[in-house]
Amino acid sequence: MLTYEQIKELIELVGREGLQGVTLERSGFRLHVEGKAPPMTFAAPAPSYPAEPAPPTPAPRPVAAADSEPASAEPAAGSAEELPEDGHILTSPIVGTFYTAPSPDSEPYVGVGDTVSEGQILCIVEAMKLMNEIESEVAGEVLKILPKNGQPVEFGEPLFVIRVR
Amino acid sequence: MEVDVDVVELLVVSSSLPVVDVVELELLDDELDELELDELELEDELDELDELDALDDDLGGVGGDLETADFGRAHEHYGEIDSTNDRALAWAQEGAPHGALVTADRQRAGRGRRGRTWESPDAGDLYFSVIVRPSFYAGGSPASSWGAYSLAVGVGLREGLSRQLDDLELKWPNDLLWRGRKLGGILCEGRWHGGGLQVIVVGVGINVGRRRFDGPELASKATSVVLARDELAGGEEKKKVGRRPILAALLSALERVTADFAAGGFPALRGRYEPHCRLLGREVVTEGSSRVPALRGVAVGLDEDGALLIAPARGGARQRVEAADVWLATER
Repeated sequence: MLTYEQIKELIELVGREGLQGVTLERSGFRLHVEGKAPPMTFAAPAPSYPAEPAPPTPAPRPVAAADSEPASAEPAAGSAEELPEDGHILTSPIVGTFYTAPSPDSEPYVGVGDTVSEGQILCIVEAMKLMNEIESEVAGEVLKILPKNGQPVEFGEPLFVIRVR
Repeated sequence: MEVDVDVVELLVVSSSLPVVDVVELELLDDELDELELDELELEDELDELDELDALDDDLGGVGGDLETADFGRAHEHYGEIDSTNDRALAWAQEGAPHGALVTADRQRAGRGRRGRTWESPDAGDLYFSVIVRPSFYAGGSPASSWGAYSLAVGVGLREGLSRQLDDLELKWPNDLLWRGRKLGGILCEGRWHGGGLQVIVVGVGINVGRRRFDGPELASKATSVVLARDELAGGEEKKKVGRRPILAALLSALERVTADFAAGGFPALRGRYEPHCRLLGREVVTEGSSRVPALRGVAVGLDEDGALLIAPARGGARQRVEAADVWLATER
């Protein structure tokens, strides 16, 4: 089983390297991440699914079931989910630390299910004390917030999935 | 001028001096005239000095002192405001030009990093924010490399203040220190839209004229330009320092480092940062979090992107620190 983090890393790898897709398979579990941005598919355990050729680039960090964290509460491995066609992925423009709120004591900028307008601040990515406020590029509904509060994020890493209105 | 003869007589009598005749009194009158004239001239001079002091402190008129091309050329000054950064961010949305400046004598809600407050009383200190538009620098660094810009701002503040004070140091990433005590702080806020960096607001607080800090913690950890100068003068209270020339010098230095940073990124400024970094060559500890464990080791340098490099005490490869708070091991 993969952890949520590892799946996210895989998605980033595909995005960063501009791959067509990556498929990871082990007993009773198969994950396929398709490149070129949406649509993105998180395939659930499906051992009968025809295997695809191995990725031509260095594979993501080897995954051993033993050192996997217990599956997090967030939808990750195991729950099949497809990005809606009108889903927009907002990625991080900079390397830094992801914050959902302006300060530890304040309310998050947005939550899942919230309606946001274009230009609305969604989060902060702090890079060496430059506080980067990230505005939404689209108006719509927040479907997912991918990183956890306080988590380091990479350039180009998906932060939010927003259903465009 | 007129001298009241009665008063002079009274004065003479009461001072039990030998009785003087009228001629002598008239002479005395003349001397008094001269003395009084001298005194008036002195008073005039003092008034002029006071006025100069007031002018030196009047941030609204900083325009006349500027040697910059853009920084501070558009300017709003407030006697009191919630936060100069908030106003600058709003002004930026309204279309403020590159280099636009917001100053205040006092901030009601001065902000630091992650919700911390920056105490901002009306005590002769500097609180200002500059609007920086990365797009102003054509062909400069890509937006994603502006992450280290707040280190460049630290370099600018140190260089801008160096005419006022020696021994200024930077504590990674961007605190400004004098002999280990905090003299100034920086809060840089960027706004991104569609992957593009629209604007950075550079917020700066410098303790200039403050002589007293509230609470024992601030008193032991903070200092100001006047306090530092007093200390250098052996405890003697020196004349007040005007904020305006300091602000003008800081804006010049900030404009310079911003252009240098835009052209060459942090590597262009590393040589102006590292020699003044208080942490380098010393044992430091980083703040741990639930995701990144605390680290102890010697700070050995800064990476290309401004990250602090630490040789861990436990051995092994150098570690990069990008986000954590860092202290000298002796001060933690």
